[in-house]
Amino acid sequence: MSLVTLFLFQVAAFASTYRCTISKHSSTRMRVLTMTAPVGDLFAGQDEERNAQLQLLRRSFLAPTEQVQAPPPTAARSIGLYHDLPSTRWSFEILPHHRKVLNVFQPQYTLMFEKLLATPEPWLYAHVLLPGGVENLANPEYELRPGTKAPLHGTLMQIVAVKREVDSRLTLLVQGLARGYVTRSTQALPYARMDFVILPDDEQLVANARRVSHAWEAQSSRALRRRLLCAASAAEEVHWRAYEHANTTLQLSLCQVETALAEPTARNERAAIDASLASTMPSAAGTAAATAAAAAAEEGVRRCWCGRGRR
Amino acid sequence: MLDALERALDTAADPAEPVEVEAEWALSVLEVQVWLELDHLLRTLARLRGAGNQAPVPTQLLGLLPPPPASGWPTDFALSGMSTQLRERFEGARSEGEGAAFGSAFDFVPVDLAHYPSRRRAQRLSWAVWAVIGGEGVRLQPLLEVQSTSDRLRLALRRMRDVRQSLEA
Repeated sequence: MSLVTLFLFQVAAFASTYRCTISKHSSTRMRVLTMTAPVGDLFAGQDEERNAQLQLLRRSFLAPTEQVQAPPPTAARSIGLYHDLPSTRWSFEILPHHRKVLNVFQPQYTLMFEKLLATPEPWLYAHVLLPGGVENLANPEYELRPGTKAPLHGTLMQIVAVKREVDSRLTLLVQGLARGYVTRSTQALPYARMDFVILPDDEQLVANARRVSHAWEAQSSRALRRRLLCAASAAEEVHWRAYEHANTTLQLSLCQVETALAEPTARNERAAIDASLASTMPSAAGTAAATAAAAAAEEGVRRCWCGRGRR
Repeated sequence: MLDALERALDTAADPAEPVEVEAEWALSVLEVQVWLELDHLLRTLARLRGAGNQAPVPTQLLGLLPPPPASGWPTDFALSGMSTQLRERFEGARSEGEGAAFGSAFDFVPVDLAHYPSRRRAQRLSWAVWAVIGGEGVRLQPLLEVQSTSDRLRLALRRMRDVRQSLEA
């Protein structure tokens, strides 16, 4: 096959969209999808009451118990750190802003995703390249720590759509949200879990560093300013997520933007970042500022959604 | 990570460092270069396929096309015309009131040039362009390890130039 043909194949594969048979709820914000199976019980899997009971049972089995449940990770999340995130380690990379259909058949990953799906949305996890794939999951040379052969940079991922197959496989549509780095491995087997921090690009850090310097320089130490910078950058990332990773279609290989959210997202960006900065400040003044900024951001979002509802 | 944070704080605190406007201008120049190179590559592909053949248009990606540079797009820049056509079609459907979720019917959904920050648009392009120029055997891990949007755009430029030169050889 010539290079022209090969490259054309790549472009054409991108240009043509893949098809999913997953049906979607009417709300574009909803990420839970109708799950149907071609065969099943006496009602061919269409008995909604039975399906709901099964779903409840499945969740009660898979969800973490109160004893082991971690406290709400608000403080860490506000600086872009995701504690004990489940992770896929396969022999390919997934980039931010890209989407991929996964055929999950390996038992450990079926378990991982089922456990994740039993928790409330958003269903976030990390994906990190593992040369050699699953066979190297237990290989000490590929342990998730500096100095091994394991890459530590990866992608924060979100599950967009789910279909449970009759043979217990999962078909998932996932999308990459942001670049990140494994700061600590919290579990190696049967699948990896890790502390994962999102890594904003230098340009984003510089823009937010100016914001931090202007607002807080006089009051904060260098260490606190670093923390504030992480918070501002993480807040920017999260704030644009709904616009940049809209869930309006299941058919594209790149994430699509939510047109209606551009203006309100831009308008409320500053308030969202200020709220995050204020909540990261440890002082009482910070708490008061956080409350005020959060109220302003919430008001902005409320106006935005009320406005959308009226149109 | 710590280095990147320290560097950013130093840059922000140093009045001698280029201001944000300058940094964004440099990024937008790189962004335009990527589009020009992509256009060149697609035209090369179309030419090599022979008369009457066109290279596939990456419609999903075209939604990220920025406004023309100050000097305008070159006259042979084909992606601009395609983007304009798609944008008109999209705006037409939008004005017919298909609702907030009308984007689901289109591969092409343009970013809002008035409200979406140009820095984030360039950052998104630096990832999205690899859907077109990546492919079998292309290592994507280095993209996750470079620390800036500019460097990732430079990697995209290098990749496209390498492919085009191989095609033309």
